[in-house]
Amino acid sequence: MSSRVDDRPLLELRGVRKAFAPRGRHARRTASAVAAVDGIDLALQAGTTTALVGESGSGKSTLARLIVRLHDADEGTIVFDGQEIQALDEKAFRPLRRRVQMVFQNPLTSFDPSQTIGASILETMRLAPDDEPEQERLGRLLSEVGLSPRFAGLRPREMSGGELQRAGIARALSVRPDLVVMDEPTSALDMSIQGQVLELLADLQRRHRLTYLLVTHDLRAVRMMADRVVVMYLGQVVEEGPTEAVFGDPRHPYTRGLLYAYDLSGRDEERDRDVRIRGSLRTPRPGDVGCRLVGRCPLSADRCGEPQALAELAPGHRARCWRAAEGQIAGDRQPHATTDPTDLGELT
Amino acid sequence: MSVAQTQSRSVLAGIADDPLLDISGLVVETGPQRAPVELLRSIELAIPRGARVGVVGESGSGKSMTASAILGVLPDGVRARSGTIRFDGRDLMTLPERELRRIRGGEISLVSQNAVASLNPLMTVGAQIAKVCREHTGVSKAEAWARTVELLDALGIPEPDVRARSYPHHFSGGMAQRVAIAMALICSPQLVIADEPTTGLDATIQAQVLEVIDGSVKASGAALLLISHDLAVVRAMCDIVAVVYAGSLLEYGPADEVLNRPLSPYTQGLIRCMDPPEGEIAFIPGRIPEPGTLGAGCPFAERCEQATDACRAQQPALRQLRPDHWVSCHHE
Repeated sequence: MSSRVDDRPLLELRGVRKAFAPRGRHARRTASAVAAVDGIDLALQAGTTTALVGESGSGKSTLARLIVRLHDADEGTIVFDGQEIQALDEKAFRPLRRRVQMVFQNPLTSFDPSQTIGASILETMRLAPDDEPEQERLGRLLSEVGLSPRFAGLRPREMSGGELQRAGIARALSVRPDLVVMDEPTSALDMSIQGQVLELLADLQRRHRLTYLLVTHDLRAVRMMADRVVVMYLGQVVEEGPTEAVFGDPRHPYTRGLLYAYDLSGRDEERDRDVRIRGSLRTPRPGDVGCRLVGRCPLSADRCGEPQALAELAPGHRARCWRAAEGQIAGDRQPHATTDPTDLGELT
Repeated sequence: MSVAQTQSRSVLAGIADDPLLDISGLVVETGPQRAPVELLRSIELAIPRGARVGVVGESGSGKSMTASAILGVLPDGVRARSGTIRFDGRDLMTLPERELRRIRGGEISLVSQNAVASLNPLMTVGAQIAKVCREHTGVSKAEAWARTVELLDALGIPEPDVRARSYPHHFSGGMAQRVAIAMALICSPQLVIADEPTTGLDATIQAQVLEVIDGSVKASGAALLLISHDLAVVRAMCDIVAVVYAGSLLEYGPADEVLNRPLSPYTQGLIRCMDPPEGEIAFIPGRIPEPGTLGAGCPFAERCEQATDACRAQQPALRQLRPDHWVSCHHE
């Protein structure tokens, strides 16, 4: 169970679990008992950015959808600004829906293709009316995300990916949210454009004291944006902590393997043997209670078959691995300082 | 360099004595004949024998279109207007379809981004690979099957004789990509084109697939044309880097030259985006030009901090500023 660090968080998850019914006869017969999101604790402090990192099947997108209530959790509580959202009916939740907005990965499909961008944004904006005339407010929103007023009259197909993502952000901001959940907001964009959108998001956060949950597999974006990183694997949190700590001193073998996999230029045989994650995702069988990385982890041992606790290693830095808890995994090199091949930290 | 200098843009021809593939002045266009829109604007590219060339570019840069042009499989409504694509002494642009078909899959093969979609869902993967092998080499059915299983084994597919009898949908993304690689390698081609072979795969799987491509290309002695939007992938895999932008080649040279001492402001910007300095968010301002909207100037001028009137007036010629290192830029 994660302990709270400072003030009451804007959003807090406790023991959240969500399983999907397997589809099809074959799937039902062979399906294992693993939930997409399997007992997650999470706390987001107001005005900060938390990154939810993991590969496909990690449950990060499901978790994001639970928070904006596109899904309902099976177990656990989700508390937003003191209110438990699972307990609210749709009507009581509506005022909160305004305060929690989502930005999607593919801006082209998240806008109605038959409507102008202006009309789409206005439709959302009307959920949070105020005294300012609509058109003025629309123009101000567009300019805030770096788009000229003429974009209000364009349709999604007439805009580039970067421009559309800006419009998506304007739409999310139009209702003055407190929390913005972003699912791979830059993954569909070109390399030279991704930074433009991240820069905009950082600027808007400063100006409006927004809280971000950034769901992504793009570790570069995480390094640039996030205050905290939460690493998920098969529905569980395997490591979490301040970004510098998780990137600079990763403690869970999965986090280390993930950073190693990204760092395509820093290959060498010894690290390959000790750090590389083998094979592909394998779902544990019913009755497996141990670490879910067994079989892929280079450091697997008998003890890994026992349940692993998310243990605190340093203030706010936790990992779900007995080796990490016993200090066996520490002092690895900076994952991105790859220029000097001799600068490889020793594995303990 | 002065604007008046009118040098032929087809300079890469002078690169190696006899590159395996040599594209020169290739123009590919779409739209009506009277008002065509150029997708490739006199592009240059050379692949020395056995080399690994990485083509880096963003959407609309023409990197995939170049691959389609090499294979002679341009989409409907898109045509090559001028230029040459010389492969092993022949001009692919003038060869009859029958000959091209023999070259495709035999001498030049393709690994595409979506492996599962590129495989026939109704045939076992082994049967598909063996079929390609028989069509191009004429070996017996048993021999083709044996080679297939051997290759799947070499590519790290567990229980290759069993997996060869499975259908594509039984394979995970990473495994399906290995199958696609096996299909590309079965005829020992001289050139393997890999178009975004790991885009969409998870990082841990991407690393594995790149390793498989790396090892198998090395073992077969084939040349590799790796097309990617991800500079990090190209840096890890290639010994020559070609940077394309809006249908033009902007920079070409040895990988560590181009990545450590980039000459084009665009390449410099891309490298910054890939590896931003600590605590900085890196990007290139502006947007990627739409095809057909470019004037006579440098295609990157609109987004370039160093752009001058000369840059906006005339597209700079490709010049060899350092050994084996070409750039299209008016600045020194």
